[in-house]
Amino acid sequence: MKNPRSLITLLAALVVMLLITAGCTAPAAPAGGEAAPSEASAPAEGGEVIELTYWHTNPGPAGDAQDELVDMFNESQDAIQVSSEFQGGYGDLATNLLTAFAAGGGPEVSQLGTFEIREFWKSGVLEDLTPYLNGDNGIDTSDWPGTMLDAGKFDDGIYWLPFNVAVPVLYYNKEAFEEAGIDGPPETWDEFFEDARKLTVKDDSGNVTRYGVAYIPGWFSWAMQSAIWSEGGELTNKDYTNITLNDPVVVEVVSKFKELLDEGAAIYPDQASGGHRGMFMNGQAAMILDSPGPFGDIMENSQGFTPMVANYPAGKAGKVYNPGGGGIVMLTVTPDDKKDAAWTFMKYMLSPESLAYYAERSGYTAFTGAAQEAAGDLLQDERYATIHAALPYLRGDFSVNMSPAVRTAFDEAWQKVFVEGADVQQALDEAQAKAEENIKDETFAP
Amino acid sequence: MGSGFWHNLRYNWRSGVEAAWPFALLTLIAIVLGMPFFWMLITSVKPLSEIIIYPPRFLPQDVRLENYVEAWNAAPFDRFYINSIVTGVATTLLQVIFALFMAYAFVFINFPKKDLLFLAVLATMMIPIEMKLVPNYLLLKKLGWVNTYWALIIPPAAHAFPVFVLYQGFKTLPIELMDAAKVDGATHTQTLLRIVTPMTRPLLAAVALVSFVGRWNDYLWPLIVTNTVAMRTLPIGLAYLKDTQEGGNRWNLLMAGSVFVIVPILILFVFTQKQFVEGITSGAVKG
Amino acid sequence: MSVNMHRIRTSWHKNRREWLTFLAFVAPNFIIFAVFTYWPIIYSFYLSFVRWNFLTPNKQVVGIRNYARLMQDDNFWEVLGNTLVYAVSVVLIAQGLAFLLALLLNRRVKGQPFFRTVSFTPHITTTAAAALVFVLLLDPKLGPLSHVYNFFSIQGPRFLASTTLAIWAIIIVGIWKEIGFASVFFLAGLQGINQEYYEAARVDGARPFAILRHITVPLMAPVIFFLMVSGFIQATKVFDLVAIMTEGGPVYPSSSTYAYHLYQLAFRNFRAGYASAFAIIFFIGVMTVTLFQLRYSKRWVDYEE
Repeated sequence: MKNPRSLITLLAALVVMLLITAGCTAPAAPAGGEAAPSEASAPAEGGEVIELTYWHTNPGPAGDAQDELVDMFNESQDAIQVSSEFQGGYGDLATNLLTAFAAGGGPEVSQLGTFEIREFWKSGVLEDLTPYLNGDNGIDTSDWPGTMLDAGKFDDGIYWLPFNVAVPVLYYNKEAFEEAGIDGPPETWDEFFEDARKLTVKDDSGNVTRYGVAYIPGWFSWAMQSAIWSEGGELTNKDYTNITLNDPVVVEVVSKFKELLDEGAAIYPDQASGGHRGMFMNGQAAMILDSPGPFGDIMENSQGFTPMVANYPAGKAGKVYNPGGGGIVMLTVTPDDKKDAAWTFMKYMLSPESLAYYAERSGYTAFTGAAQEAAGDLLQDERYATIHAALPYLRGDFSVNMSPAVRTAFDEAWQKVFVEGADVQQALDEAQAKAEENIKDETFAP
Repeated sequence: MGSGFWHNLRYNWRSGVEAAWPFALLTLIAIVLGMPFFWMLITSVKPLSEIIIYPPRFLPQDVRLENYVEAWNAAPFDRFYINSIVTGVATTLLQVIFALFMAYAFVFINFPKKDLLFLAVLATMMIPIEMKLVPNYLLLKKLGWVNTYWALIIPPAAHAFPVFVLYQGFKTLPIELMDAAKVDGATHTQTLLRIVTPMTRPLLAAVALVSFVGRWNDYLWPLIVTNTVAMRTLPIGLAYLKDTQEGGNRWNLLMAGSVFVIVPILILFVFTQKQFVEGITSGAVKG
Repeated sequence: MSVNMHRIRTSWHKNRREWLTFLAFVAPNFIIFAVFTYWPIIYSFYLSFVRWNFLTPNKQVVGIRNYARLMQDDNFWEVLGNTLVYAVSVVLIAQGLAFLLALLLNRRVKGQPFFRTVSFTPHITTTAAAALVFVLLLDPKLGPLSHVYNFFSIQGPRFLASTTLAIWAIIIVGIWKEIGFASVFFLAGLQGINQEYYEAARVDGARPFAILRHITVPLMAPVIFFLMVSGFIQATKVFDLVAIMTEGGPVYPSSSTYAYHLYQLAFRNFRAGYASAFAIIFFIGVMTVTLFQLRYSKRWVDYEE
């Protein structure tokens, strides 16, 4: 508790601070300080090691596994040295990238969630990867599922590649299904809504003791989007010239989810604490629509029943699934003489072996055909196999996610419906108007 | 302190209801205010399966101390501790010294339109950090300070709150002392260092504690101005434990991490609270 | 104006030493403020007239369009309301409770240092950690309150799932953090009051409440003023609690506040210009309230001297 004990300390500190505030020199970083990544020196000349920086998100095992992959890459060759830096959650990562870019810096390669792809691409932050993908040192994407490359595709270029791909997963309570006399998980969304009703248990005074389904607080739009697409609906086209948040199919799907809530067959839990996962694990909800992320926790901590996984149901348009997770990008601040090295690193991260390793450690998917082959034994497990069976149905253009204006408007609308019981049509009409107004800030040509 | 507490409980009990009710009321208040710490501690040693049961248990059935090991291993907390301590102490020192001079100037030195300038100081408290991020980062970049201790120490070294507290404190000092010093021909620097500083030492200690706590708990600024693990501070360790959408929060690990973050500052407070309270008593607010 | 300048110039010669000392004393802080605070304010003011996403090289000047749209933005008004509700509630409730706590502690209760420590620790607890544990505490099923709800066989309120209660969950934590801090100041103030005042009042036969009202409160005016001003300013900047407990939900922006909304607009929606206009309006608002507090309190505080 360092109150200045003597005048000498005080004066010494004063001198130091005057030197600092004079600010004529930019002093070197004290112990442990490293130069900002963009300033990392060394143009790659004969035999010199090229230094790269990689920023990533995903706390916990999913982040550790990325650090491990980077270490493995560094050991696998001598020419390139990558330092891997965790930057907080997806939002923190984006804020850090943004402030770094605004000052003309940033890492050479970074993980990036889906929300920022479009805005970053439009602002010239993302490097076009097409020449590398198709070049001598390219990647064969023919065995990539669905339309996985679409999210990063703009104007004939590819600017973002999927890396940590999550698929929708329906978790269900086996015993609850048996009790309700339901034979296996729902195949269609109509069945899903029916099953939710059958699975609901109320006590004598009418209080719900088990809900058919618990929705995801905060980001349930991720799950609903799969239902909307599967039923043949659209929320917007890719360049946002035709936003359709109040499309009849959207209205119908949101209404069906709302009806379950009204009947007490579903619950929209708190944002926090146990949330939908807690309710599922302690048997208060018979189904949840989620991602593979909590798979390990759910298997380990579910109490008094057998948790099972299934794919999301199909709709009139078949199975159309909304991917989750993020990808990796190369940034345009990368100097020309480092770009090949940056690509070599990206290619390593996307190699079948890396993806298989990552899937095993993190719970994300080994999403390419080759990666699944490399994963081998992992997919022998029936539950992993089920999760991976969803891959062919992924639709890659995260359309809603990529526009903050549309996403915000849609989120506010369905939250109003679920929490405040607002009229579906009216809420979505308002959202439509709001999105069309606010999109102007995003689609203007800079 | 603990044994004193029990002694007092008995003492109050014996001396009758009349004297006991404030004590009882305070005990109740202490339980309510202390509940979050209790809950944090017990959650930090529960297995996840015990956190989601209803109704909750006050004491865990299985004590799972591995939570602490796992939380510790989730991030290089040892490095974070060093960074937090170094930058916290340095910034606190600077904040207090700068504030000392500034508050003295505002209270004891004549200058035209001083009130307006003081308002300009207060105004800096009204700017949320979010508004400053991008311009500040641009500047740090130009100075070459990104990802250095300088970025963690210098910009937060100027803070209006300690100025405000010291300003209030200095105003209560007996004016005769200043006049005496003036008659003796002492300069302002001499008056500040020889008279005002010694007299307000406890207040300075209090201000220092508040400053240190502020730096210790800051999240956004260190997250933005540093980008390597080696330069990060303690609260960012919590971010390593707080999962984003796909995984879901492991509450037991989060609470264990929270314990890492708050324990040092609690210890610091327990040991300095006498000075701290004295400081406030001696200063800000003497009627 | 020129007369004024002239006066200042002549007094410059007279007071040069004094003024230079003043400037030297305030220089370190003002240099850092200028660079890291005043400049961003000016810069934000400029940004509030453009359309920009932080990233593109050029900015499109749009005049007062950002401000005009702000006035018609429902979210702006809701966030403004939430911030005011938060700041006023935390300041008034926390300080009211803190005052009572200080009166209790001032009764020379045994174990006073212990109680003071316990009540102050919330203030020094990392906000993020506090927010996290309160999420668990306030849960109607998983928190300790569920035993209370069970006892009375009632459904506990789901704070974080309610558009009206979510902001109050945040306020509760804000109050929890503030009580001990304010009470230490109040206690110090109470202990500084000359006992003769009380004795004189008692001799006059004043009732306890009258003593409180006519002696204690006026003598405490500087403390109250100090806590009101700094507490209000601090409260308007609440960020961590919102980010961790509600993310502004359950229906955005039902529990969103100034700093959190600013972050959302600027860094999640890339609307640098619009966010700047929002920040400028708010800055002016908080500044006005503070000026009002200062002016009002000057009369009030000086009254007792």
